[in-house]
Amino acid sequence: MNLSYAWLQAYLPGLKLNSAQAAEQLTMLGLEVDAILPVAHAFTKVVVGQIIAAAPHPDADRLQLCQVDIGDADPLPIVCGAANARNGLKVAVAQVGACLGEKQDFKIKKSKIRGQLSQGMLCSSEELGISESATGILELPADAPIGKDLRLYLNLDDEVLDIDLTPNRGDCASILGVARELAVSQQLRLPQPSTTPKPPSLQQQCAVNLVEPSLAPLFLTQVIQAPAFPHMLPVVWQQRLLRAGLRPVHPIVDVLNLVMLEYGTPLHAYDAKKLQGDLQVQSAVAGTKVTLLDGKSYTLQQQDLVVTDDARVLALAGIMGAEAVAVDHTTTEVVLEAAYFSASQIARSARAHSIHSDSAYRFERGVDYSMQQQALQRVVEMLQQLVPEMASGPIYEQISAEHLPQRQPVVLRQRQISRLLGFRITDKEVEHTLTGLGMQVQIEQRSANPENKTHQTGQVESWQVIPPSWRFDIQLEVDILEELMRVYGYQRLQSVALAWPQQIQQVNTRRSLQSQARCLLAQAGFHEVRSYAFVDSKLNQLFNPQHQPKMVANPLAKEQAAMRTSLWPGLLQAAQYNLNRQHKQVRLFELATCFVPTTDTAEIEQSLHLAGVIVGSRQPQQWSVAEEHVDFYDLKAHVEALLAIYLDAPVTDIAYSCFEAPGEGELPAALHPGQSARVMWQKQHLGYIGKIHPHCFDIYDLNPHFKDIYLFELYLDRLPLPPVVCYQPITSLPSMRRDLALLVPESLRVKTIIEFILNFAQVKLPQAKLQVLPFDQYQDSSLGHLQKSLAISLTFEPTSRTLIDEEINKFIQELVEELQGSLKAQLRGM
Amino acid sequence: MLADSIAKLQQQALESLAAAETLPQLEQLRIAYLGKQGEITALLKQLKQATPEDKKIIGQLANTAKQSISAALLAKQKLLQQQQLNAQLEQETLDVSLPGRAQATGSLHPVTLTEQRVVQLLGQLGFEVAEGPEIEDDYHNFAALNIPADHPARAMQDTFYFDDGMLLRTHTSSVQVRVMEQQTPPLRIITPGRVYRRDSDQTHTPMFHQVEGLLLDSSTNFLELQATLRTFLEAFFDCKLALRVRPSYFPFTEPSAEIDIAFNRHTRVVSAEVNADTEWLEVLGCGMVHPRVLQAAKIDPEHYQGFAFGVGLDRLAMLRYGIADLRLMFEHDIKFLRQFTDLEGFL
Repeated sequence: MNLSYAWLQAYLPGLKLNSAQAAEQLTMLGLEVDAILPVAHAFTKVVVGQIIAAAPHPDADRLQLCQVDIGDADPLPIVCGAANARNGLKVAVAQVGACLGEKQDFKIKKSKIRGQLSQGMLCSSEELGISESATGILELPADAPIGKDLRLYLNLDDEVLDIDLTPNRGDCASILGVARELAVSQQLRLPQPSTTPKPPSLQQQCAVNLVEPSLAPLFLTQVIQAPAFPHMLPVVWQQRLLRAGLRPVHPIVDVLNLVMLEYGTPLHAYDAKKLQGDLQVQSAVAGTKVTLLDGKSYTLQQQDLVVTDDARVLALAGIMGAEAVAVDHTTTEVVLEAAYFSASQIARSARAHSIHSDSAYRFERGVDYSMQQQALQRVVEMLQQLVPEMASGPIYEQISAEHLPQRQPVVLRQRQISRLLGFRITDKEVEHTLTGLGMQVQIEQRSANPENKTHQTGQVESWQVIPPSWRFDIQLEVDILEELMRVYGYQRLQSVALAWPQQIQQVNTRRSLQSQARCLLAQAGFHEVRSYAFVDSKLNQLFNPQHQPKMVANPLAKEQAAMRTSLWPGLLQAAQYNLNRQHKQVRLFELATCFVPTTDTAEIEQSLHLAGVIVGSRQPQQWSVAEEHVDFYDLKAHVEALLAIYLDAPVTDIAYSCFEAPGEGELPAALHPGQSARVMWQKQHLGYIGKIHPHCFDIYDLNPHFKDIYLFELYLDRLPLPPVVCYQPITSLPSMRRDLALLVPESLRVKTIIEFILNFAQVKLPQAKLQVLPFDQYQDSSLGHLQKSLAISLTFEPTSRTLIDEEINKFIQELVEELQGSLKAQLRGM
Repeated sequence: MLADSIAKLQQQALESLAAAETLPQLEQLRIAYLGKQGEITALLKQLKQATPEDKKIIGQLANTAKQSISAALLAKQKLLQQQQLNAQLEQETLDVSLPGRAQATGSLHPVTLTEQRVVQLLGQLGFEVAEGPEIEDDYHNFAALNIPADHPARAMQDTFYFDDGMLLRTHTSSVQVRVMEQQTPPLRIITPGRVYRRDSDQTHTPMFHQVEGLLLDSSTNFLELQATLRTFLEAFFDCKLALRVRPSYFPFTEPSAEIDIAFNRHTRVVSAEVNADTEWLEVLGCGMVHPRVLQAAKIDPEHYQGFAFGVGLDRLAMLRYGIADLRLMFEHDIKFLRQFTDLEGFL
């Protein structure tokens, strides 16, 4: 909310603060001042002038040669390019020597423009820094005094306070409200609003029927009449409006706005000649269409509250009037409205129609229901200053007292002040502060005086406090505590030492494992990203075709509507972003919540996923390493390392490709079917690893230069917490190693062979612990079709006694026979 | 006669040894002079025919010669070995100025680093991490926090909704509600997490991060709230700070406050003093937990009280690392991300 500081000073005459001090005070009272804005640039030597002759420039089509009277003996010749420069107009004249511009770096000099002498400049409001843009030069009122310094005439040394009001302080959306706060903190007397209306000179009244008294419990009307209303406001009033961010539209509307700014009471005016019959305040008929003052057409719903006459809807109550009954420059008779509407009614209705009006802003925060009469009187008083012959009728009043907001007394206990705030405030300061804020304060209870044992003179234990009609945020004892502390001053609060009993926290194992996982990936070269949780549903579909994602009903963009069921869409976009920026090695990961619909119910499982993408070089570019690209096994190593944080299972146990284990469920369509796998552990599906499917490159518009993109995703919530390490005795007995080179069918999986060997050893050589590791695998034409060569090492670790060569040799011999017989694996010679 | 031969042989051997240039040559000389078939041995064999007296004298001479040759041989051997090692070392010399064999180094997101720092610092004051759902219901995000349906505060936080009436949480205060429903005071929790508001411009992203704290016991008051947050902020920025605590409004706390920190408008660094260059920067909202919020969680406000606070993790990260544009956080540019390699608090 913007307010002229000069206006505030005029309202609160005792105020001795400058604008910066006042801003600091208000901020510390909870009315945060975001900015103090000058109302104009800091120019000098600009005065009011009048164009007394305007003729076309002899040598330029768009220029005029003006003679301008600024009160000196001779008029000034000034060349002006503005189309609105015309004879008789009062204008702002920058004299020779004036410095304009934000930094006063534009100096006005005596000059010749296309051969014509020009001694000064006629200014636009933009050139003076009064407004951000302007067409043509500033037009001053006809009564502007010639020769007067413009700064004085328009009070341009004023400043605007931009106050960021919190929603509980609707009472401060006015000069009166802000002045009240400053008066309390500065110990000043707040002038009470007072008006001296002339007695009614008209008979006319405009009757009102409150059909919905719970939504509109108070409604005042008054009829005014004048032969004509002027076209312009006095310049001081105009400036107040402009400085509050309102544009002058019509003097009646402008005066209503000024009174709203002054008292915080929204008002409305109808052209009386356009009304038919009495007013009704009632619920709208659903489907009714009405064009409001913003020129837009609205379709009303039953929950809207409207003001109607016999013929039509006159206003969306408390929010905006209808265009059809608006005052205009032919208006001579007006019905003024001052009302109180239910805050939640206005909030609901304004939100439903997305209307932001100054009236709705105030009503939905709560408007003082005791000010309406005063406000109407103030309007009449101000209009009569403009049009002395204006006549006004008596105020017509409809009140449903039982539906007005009720002010219940709130009990404030003195001990609660120190209990909750941590310091004492004296009884006197409590009473002084609350009374200053307009509350009625009565002592409810005193403790017995230890000297004379009577309660009359003892300490106050509690008060009864009744909040004023303008406060809607005082309902509980804590609300009063806040008022006390606010006025006491947060800056006066002492610092205290913390003296809390300490307790040792439990280790949050899940979080600490997540930290380990993050660290592991960062140390393996991954960069962590954080991407939006809403993604393009098309992309999400690609990665997770079996799940229909939950859709945001009001997304910012269509591409940000699907709640992700996988982290891959975001990661792939992040990878793409970097690949397009010449990064040759991209490794990214994200650890975040995904929103996965459960298969049997409509519920959404909000589960934590950890996903990563790798693409490009295996190692950073460097002198000693030939550039190689990452492959599936690089990815798998990362996943195995991650799983090792959680599981103590052998790593060979975790992956099954879907080609090899049909029936294990579909792979996401985004994955290459031959180079991808589900991650399984004890029949639990823990995630996926794999290469991105070639068809994604078209769908995703991926950079075709990088075909080999590998992804993993793990469902962290499904992983168990690792057990505490259980120490295994170590042996100093020597172990033995044998290597086997086998020629095996191409389709035979290494895992099958290893498991076969381990099972065989368990039966045949229980006295040793066997470790089997593949150390080479290759295929070429010399091996024959569908064959591959596999080299594995067998390390035998004795458990109880030293192993001897003979038993190992015998075992190997039997194993080789068995491998040939069962798996068609032939020994290739060592 | 024999003595002369010995002297001559010794002379000859020592000269050969001195002339030897390689270890194989030296080995040949050892065999030639000291070996079983060597010349010294051959000389000694001739002693068999000599008189006992001669045997004694000549024997001594021969032994001396043998020892002298052996010693010379050993010395030469050492010398040659040393030379050979030197040659080898010289040959093996590397250009130590070449860079080391590099591994890729990764990074953690600045928000992650900041979250960890906040969690660890507040953990020292006994605050434990609690987490909750990001898709929330109206009750936990609004109603239970004293924000009824038509409350103007809802307009402060533009909300993403779903068709079924659920919403994306606009703050992590919803987690506090869930904790209060399940646990009884005393409570000290913090709730870091993602939050969502329907807002996107230079200084707002539709998703960002917050951490909220809640402390409930029978006596903690506003002055202690202020002291706690000062302690926390000074620990976070690792320096003394000038703070401004001013009244504010949140539906779920009363009294409420916002805390600004003094910031030099030119250097963009936090500072302990307030002067003409000071700009106040809002970092934190806080207040005493509203009695209605306690009542909604079936906690009696006459017995329990405490405070709550909320701080933007993105904002803290920007201040700590000097990041000027919030949007960088969510653009995934490796040039940005790779700067955050310190893994502080994680190792």
